[in-house]
Amino acid sequence: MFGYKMVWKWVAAALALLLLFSLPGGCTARVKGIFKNILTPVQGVLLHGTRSFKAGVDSVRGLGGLAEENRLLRQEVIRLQADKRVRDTLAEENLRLSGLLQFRNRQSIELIPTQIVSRSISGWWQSVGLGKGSSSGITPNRAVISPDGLVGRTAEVTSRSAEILLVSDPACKVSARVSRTGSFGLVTGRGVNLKGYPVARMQFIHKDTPVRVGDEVVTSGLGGVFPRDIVIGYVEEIHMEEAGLYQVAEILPQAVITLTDVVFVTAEEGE
Amino acid sequence: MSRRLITLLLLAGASLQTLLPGPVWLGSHEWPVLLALILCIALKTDRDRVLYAGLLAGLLHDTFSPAPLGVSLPFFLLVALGVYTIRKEVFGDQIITYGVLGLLGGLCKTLYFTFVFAASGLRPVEAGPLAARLGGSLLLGAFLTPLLFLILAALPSRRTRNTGWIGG
Repeated sequence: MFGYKMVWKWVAAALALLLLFSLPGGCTARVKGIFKNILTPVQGVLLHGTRSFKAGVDSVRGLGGLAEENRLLRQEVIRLQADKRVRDTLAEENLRLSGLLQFRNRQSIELIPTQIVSRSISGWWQSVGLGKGSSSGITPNRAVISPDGLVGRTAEVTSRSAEILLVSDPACKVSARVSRTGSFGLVTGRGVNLKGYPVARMQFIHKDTPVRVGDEVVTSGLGGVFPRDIVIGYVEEIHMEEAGLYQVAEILPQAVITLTDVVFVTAEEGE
Repeated sequence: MSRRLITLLLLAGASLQTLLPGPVWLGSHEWPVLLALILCIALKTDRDRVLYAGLLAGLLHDTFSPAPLGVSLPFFLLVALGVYTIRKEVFGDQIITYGVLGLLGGLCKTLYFTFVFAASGLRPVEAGPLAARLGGSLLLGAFLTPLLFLILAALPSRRTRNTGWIGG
């Protein structure tokens, strides 16, 4: 039967569990960070292996060295497109508000290109893992964008990895604006629909604003986390809230649907 | 099966689980690699190692999810100990056993997280996606666990010829 040694073992295990559950956020982040820092390079290697294998298959198919060149060019195009989009946005904004507001900080927004190395281990969360962390200048609560628009925001960051909450995650909330009408609202993630597409919902749109299916939804810039005028997605469906106080729009978050292997994290001001 | 091998398997399993895309038609349910590994380990090793594996799997699962640390730990520990307890009642060398355990394990995992997330308000739980998720967990668990059993069965025969899985 159970001896004293065994009883002590179980008591110690129970105490350890209790301690784990009551740890403050900083400590749990550190414990998670240890595992993540160990495994992120492994994930990177696995991902690289998968891509190399795919490139190898492409080469065998007759594409030769074009496969590698194509990959490099595609990365360059993505970087240039992202750069152009940010520059266009900043130029337009400066034009409209020059003389009224000082957007010096906004002009200094720097993008940190980084690779996606993992998905969430559980399908309950809409998140992806990045292969860079605080040692590359990434901090929590920064906007993550791609050439197609807003991807999400950074959540937990360790020295060598970072977790992004996608726009389609229910914990990700973004102050938004319908481009055509200028009406404001709040975009909240809704997970994945039954067709497998990530979805989001824009709430609190003024009830008299004529929002249409296909309207572009962009970030409003309010709140300080997300830069202004980054595309979030397009209205797929619009309906009135049950009490008739405001309109609700179902949105397809474009950048999440077309998520590539490279994204850009907006650097902290002054980085 | 040594602790070192268990650690390596679980680390590799966790990495794999974060890389494999979940099938869209099954509610984007993740491939339950860690769960399948725990089921296989629990049927084939001693109690201390089963406990160690359950603990490590729970920690790894929480590490790679935005959930607070410790949420998955009770599930993996209970599954590991539960399967260890009934291991003399089941045919541990039959592939069908792993299929059934994978199916039940997947079902329990979805129900456990549904309960935890609904009770804590961490995640919204809706009927449609939940049904797809349940179906996904059943099918993926039933498919993946026997597959991993076959792979693991081939593994220790080379490493520990005399002791087999237990105590190696």
